[in-house]
Amino acid sequence: MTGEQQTVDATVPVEPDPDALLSVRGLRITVPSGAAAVEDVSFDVHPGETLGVVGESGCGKTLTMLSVMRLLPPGTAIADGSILLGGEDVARMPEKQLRRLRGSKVAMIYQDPMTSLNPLMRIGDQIAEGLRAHGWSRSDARDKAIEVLGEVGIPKPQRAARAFPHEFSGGMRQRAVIACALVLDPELLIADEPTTALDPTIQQQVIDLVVQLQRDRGMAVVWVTHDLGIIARLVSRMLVMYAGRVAEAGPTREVFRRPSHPYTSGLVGALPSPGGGREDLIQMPGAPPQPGQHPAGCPFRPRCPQAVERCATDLPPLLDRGREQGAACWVPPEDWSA
Amino acid sequence: MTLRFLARRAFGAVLTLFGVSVIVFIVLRMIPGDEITVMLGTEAAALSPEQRASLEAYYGLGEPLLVQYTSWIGNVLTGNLGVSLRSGASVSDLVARRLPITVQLAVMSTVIGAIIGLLVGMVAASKPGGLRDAGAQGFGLLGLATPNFVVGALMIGVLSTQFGYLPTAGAYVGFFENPSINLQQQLFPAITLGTALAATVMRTTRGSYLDMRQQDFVRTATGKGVHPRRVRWRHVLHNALIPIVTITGIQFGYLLGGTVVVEEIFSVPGLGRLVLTAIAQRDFAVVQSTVLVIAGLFVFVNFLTDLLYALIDPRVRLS
Repeated sequence: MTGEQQTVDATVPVEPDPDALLSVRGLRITVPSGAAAVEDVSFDVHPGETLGVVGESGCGKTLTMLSVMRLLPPGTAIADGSILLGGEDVARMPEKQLRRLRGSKVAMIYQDPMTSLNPLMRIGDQIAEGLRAHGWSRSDARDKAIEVLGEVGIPKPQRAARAFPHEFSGGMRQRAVIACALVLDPELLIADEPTTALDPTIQQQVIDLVVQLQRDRGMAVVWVTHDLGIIARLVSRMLVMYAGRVAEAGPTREVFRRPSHPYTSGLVGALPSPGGGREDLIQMPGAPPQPGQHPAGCPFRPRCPQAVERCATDLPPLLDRGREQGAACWVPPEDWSA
Repeated sequence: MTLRFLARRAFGAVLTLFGVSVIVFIVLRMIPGDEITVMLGTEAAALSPEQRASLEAYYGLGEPLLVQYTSWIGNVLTGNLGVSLRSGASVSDLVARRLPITVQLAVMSTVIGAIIGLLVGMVAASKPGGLRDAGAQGFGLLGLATPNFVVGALMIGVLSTQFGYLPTAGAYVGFFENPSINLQQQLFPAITLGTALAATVMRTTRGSYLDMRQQDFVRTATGKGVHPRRVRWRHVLHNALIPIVTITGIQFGYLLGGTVVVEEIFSVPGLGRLVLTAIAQRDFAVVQSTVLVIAGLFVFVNFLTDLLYALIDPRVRLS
């Protein structure tokens, strides 16, 4: 070691992975003020795989996934990096080509089912709309919409298709949103905290539904959540984000067994017990920095119990921790103080 | 649209009209100068008390107010709007002759105003903060700030001096007598009234459109691969229409009764001028019945607006 920084860890090679369904490299997203809300984020999703993205609100996990569909809010933009979806770069794609991918190759389900459906449009029409946009005939689209409503477990799909969103409960609406997303058999489904706005009893039903649909269709799923319980149960590989960057990445089992970033360690430590109780309690002093107000060095340093001198000046890259695990921390776990 | 909803609306309408009738009746009688004095002018001073009393008795003015009120309302309920003290003409006839003129003017103004307002509002919202937005906002502010009589007078001035055309020349011609002359006569007052309405509609459209554009369901639609044009019309504009319809409906209601100034400037013999003249002549029978008719129209238009809502928004149909 001559003070030169080691480059990126083994889980994410520098070049995009040609076998991956989704291969994101060096993604940087800026908000209207010009500050970066997401910086240097890289990850892969392979066909049929389940990836989890965790972090507190505002850590950039939702923006990262919205950018995969180029659905960023106005003023927020992809400033750098590439997003290869099936080999094509979404970040630089013209609008027309983008429209072909949306819905058919990648689809998304959203946080709040109460607001993500058009209140003035019948459920069936909203599902059929995606099909129509991809060239289906009116009658085929209508039949398919009813079929998918049945698949997502809505009783009497024929009648439900004629209902308006306000006639549905929250759980039913989320099922309708899922139907909208899955009607074109996408290869990648992004689930952006689809259960946060629902009753706890309904949450499990929605999770089970997505898991079952993933099994039936063999699609890849990215779970964006702050609920580590979901991650622990459903996800094979996970990405922990902090202040717009990847703090830690690796196989879920390894990350839970041996967290290599003090932030991950804090998150995992905040779990009451593995597999029981409410697991989304994240107890950690302080709050993540806002975009544009990041301290010099490591963004987690002000909250970090393991910080050393170097953390105040140098930003740690994602360092290889073995077992396909990587962490953006200068201090390896074996050197942590208790 | 349930029966309950209709019943509630009807009850509200009756209550509103009752209130209007009481207020008009009382306010009219608080204006100094009774109709006999106004009618006879200086000669009224020469009336002997007996002559005055017999005139008052003839016109029913000597009765207690409550009796006058109930006999008026009783007549209105049986379809008799009364008789002009001045000309002896039936108020129903007067209203029936002028109502179509006012309604035509209000409809034309609303159509002009709504179309311009909607288009300019959408142009403004398409790129908020841009040059076109600033221009549209300026138009909106100007339209709201400029009184009708200024716009009307300017228009007459420009038309007559620059084009040698005087929109107020000649007697008013009904639509069915000569549609082309009628439309010419109505067009300029309609543009005048439409300008203010366009400004209001534009501001509502812009705000509502920008608000709806940020909604989650718009993102959902885009995420399905739907064409941006369809997203704009089917999702954004459709939802933005609700407040636009409200504001247009209210403005249309106002136009039915509130076009006095413009009718005066452009010599359009509508309801507004009828009331104005009648007030000057203390022709109580004409004023109170005509105002009641105008109020009734207003209530009716509001009801139509609510029906239109239910057409747009399925959530209204249930509640």
